[in-house]
Amino acid sequence: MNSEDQKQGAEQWLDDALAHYGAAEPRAGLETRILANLEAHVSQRRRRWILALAASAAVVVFAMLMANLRGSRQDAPNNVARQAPPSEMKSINATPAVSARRQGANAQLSRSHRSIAHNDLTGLQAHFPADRPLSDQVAQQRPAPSINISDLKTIQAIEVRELAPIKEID
Amino acid sequence: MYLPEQVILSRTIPAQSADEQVEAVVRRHARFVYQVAYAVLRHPQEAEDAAQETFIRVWKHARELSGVLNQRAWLARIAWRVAVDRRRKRPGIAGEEDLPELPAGGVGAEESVIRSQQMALLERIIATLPHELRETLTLSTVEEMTSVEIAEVLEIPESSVRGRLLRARQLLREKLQVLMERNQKDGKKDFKAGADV
Repeated sequence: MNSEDQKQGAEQWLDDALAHYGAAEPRAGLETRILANLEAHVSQRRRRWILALAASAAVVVFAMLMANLRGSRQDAPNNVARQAPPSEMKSINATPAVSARRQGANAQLSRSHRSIAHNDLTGLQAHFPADRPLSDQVAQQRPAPSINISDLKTIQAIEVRELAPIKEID
Repeated sequence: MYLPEQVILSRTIPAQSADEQVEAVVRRHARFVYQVAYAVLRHPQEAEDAAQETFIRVWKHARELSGVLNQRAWLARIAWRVAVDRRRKRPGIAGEEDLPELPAGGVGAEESVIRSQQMALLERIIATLPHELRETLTLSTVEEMTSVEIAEVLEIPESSVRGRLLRARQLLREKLQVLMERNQKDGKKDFKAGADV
């Protein structure tokens, strides 16, 4: 066998071998298996997403609840402390005379309110030991407030002044 | 004006959902993807696992699917990378190929044995080739894979693919000739799988 024959023989052998080398056939039903695997993968991924979303939503709700709770606990004493009694409240633009009159009127009103509240409480505590709103029937039976008209007469009308017109600027 | 097949298809076929698109791609190209993976891994089960992993990656990029011009080349590139990664992680895969089941007897059994010996010898010779020639030749053995697609997978010019294939074949032929000469001297007529390459 000369070199030319050897070359030709090698070429033939190579062609034949390479033709079979890449001819690999998968087991039957490859597409079905791949699709089933994909479906399982997708559903698993979706389940993970749903769980993650639910967990994060729960964390957010819990954080909001905790923040609200803490805020209400902190605000409750502060609000009471910050609130000034009505007798001390002053209008910013009120003149000393007007504010003195208002103070007098406020003091009168608060006194009368206290007396009303005291009467109500003594009459209704037997019926309503707990702090609950009155029903219509009980409200009708409630005694009229003991306000003396002579007390109210001491309240003087607040002076109302007209505002000066604003000058237009050229 | 010339339009590639995929562009024409994407313009004429009504819009599908991403899942439907992936399913269509699986049905059309599963066998091809398997063959690309098998060319690298030379193991049926590993090739199937690689094909499944390839389609999971395809599903993750399903939105890009409609914009891909050459789906075969795109899939081949993904399958190639997946298979190469798997081989790198498990270097012992190659050579563990399950031998085909032999027929009970007769001419078929003899042919099958010769064929498996032929494949084993070819694998040994291909393993001696330089890396870049080996991967080009391996891809070229995949059924219906053109040099353009191989060029896209390996991200090299098509002319380089042709050059590498010529060089690879030349080297293979030289090695075979050496083997044939050695066998003639030893008085053997056929190559054997265990021949010293």
